[in-house]
Amino acid sequence: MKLTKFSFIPAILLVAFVLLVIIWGFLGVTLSDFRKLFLDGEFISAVVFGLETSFTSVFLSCLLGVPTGFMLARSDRFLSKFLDAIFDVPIIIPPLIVGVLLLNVFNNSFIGKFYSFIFTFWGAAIAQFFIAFPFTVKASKSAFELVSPIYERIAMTLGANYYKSFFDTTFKLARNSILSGLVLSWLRSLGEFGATLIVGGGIAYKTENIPINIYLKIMEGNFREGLAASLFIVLVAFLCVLFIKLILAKSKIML
Amino acid sequence: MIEAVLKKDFGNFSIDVEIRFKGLKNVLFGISGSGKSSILKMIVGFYEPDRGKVIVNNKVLLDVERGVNTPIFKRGIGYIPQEYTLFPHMDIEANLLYGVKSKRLKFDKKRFDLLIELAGIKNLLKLYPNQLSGGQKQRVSLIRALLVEPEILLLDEPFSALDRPIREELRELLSELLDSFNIPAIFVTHDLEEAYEFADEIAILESGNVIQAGKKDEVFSSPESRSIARLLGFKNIFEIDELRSDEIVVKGFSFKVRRLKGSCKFVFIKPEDVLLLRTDRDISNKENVVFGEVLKFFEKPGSVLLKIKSKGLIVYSRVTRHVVVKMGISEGSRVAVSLKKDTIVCGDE
Repeated sequence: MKLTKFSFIPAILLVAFVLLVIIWGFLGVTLSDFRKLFLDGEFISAVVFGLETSFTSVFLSCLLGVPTGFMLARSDRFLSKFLDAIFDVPIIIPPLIVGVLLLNVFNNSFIGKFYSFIFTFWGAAIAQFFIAFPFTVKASKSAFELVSPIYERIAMTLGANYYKSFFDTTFKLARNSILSGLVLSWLRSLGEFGATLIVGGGIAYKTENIPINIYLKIMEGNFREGLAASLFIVLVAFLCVLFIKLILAKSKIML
Repeated sequence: MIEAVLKKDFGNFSIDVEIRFKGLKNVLFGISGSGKSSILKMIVGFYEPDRGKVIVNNKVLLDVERGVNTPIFKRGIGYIPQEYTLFPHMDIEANLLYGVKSKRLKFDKKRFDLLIELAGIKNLLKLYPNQLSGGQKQRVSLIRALLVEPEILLLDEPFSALDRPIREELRELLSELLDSFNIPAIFVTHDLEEAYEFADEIAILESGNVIQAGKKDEVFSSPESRSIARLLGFKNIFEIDELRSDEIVVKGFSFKVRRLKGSCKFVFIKPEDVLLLRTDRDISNKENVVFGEVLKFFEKPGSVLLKIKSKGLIVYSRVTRHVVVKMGISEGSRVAVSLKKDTIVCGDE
């Protein structure tokens, strides 16, 4: 009891730290800064490019990451742990270095014969995918692990075939957690800087996403605009977290 | 009619059984870890045995040697485990109708109404599983399984997580439902009382093997071996020192016996068959009388188990509380008991 009271103090300090940094940010801009931001063609183009690449990255993550997460959740411990460790790699390598490694691959003349990824949309999207997919895999894995396979088996004893029993039970029960994993992957892709810059080149109106735009703004001395753009990302992230909390709270009621 | 011949090696444990049940209410009985659940799971199809076959009502559902392996959803086997398995994201009505819809059965409103009426779950239809008590959940599971008209129902200790009165209610419900819809069932349990109450036929399992099987009364009255006798509550297990045609010698006591069948190394007597005698009356005509001292009392609801010592022999006798009070028996009392000839059965190691 005494210990819980005591541990309130660091908790309050941490909350104050987060709020202070964000509120301080909002105090540094005015509405007209945001208005100016959305009239800035380069920023809008960066938003569009950021959305396109991040959705591509999430789409690929979903396509490959969700089934992989299912496989990891249902396979035996040894294999699951081994693959899990491999999927940690993209998370622990700094994004800039991921960019360098990908650039090294794309520079290969053999791959170059088929498609030139460097400084293109697909180069940037693949860089973001590399960094974001492990989140989808991990989120899907834990989402599937939370659902006991017994529901699927019971559904089969009630006459549902392999696919129907899976989609009616396990998938529906894991769906919200997977969705929140996808939202996090998307946010990660949207805010990706290092790898996207190295592979995509950060070319204005072509391969420039929001973080690159912010970086360039600040380098050019437009700090207030850069701050406003940063706060825009903060708002998007906040909305995403809110969305995740809502859908997860809904599925917790059931499980 | 259920026939299951199953062999499976789990590495540290293996199952090798032949089970044949002809009755409606069948029990697989054994302690935890004897392989009961695994056998049910192989019959339903959750695991595949290394070798063997499963035949239900003359339909071959599995025959490993011949490559027959009917998928779970076509086996027509209902399965109810101990854990709660109602789909948490569907309301009770959707849960109940899931099978009917999956199998595209014609919805029989009359049967549905009758079943939910019998199970007392009529007013739960719009609720979600997390709003139900454990007993209600298992009632719904039972009806959900019966609505798809299974060939056979497998129950893996379905009521063990429930409180005793609710467990008894549900056992009664299950029994009534199986009788009225004529659906055979295999009920797995480690509870002797539950096994006795439910079974027409029983198979006793020990470390992956069936050690005795048959009609309930036969099995419960004549265990074939010492370990079966122990499982079935025969507290009095004596090694036979000398075996004569109508008499045995156990630790210096000679007891009259009747028709000992099979190979006899031990005799078994249920504590309820050891009669406490009133020594103030003439007991000279009583069979196999043993005089001894009450060492200990074990109280059960409604009955008392007496541990009686007579020279080297320990005899257990179960009597009603009433008798104990009336005869003024306490620990240390001298008593006489009779081991009736007819209740003495014998068996192997």
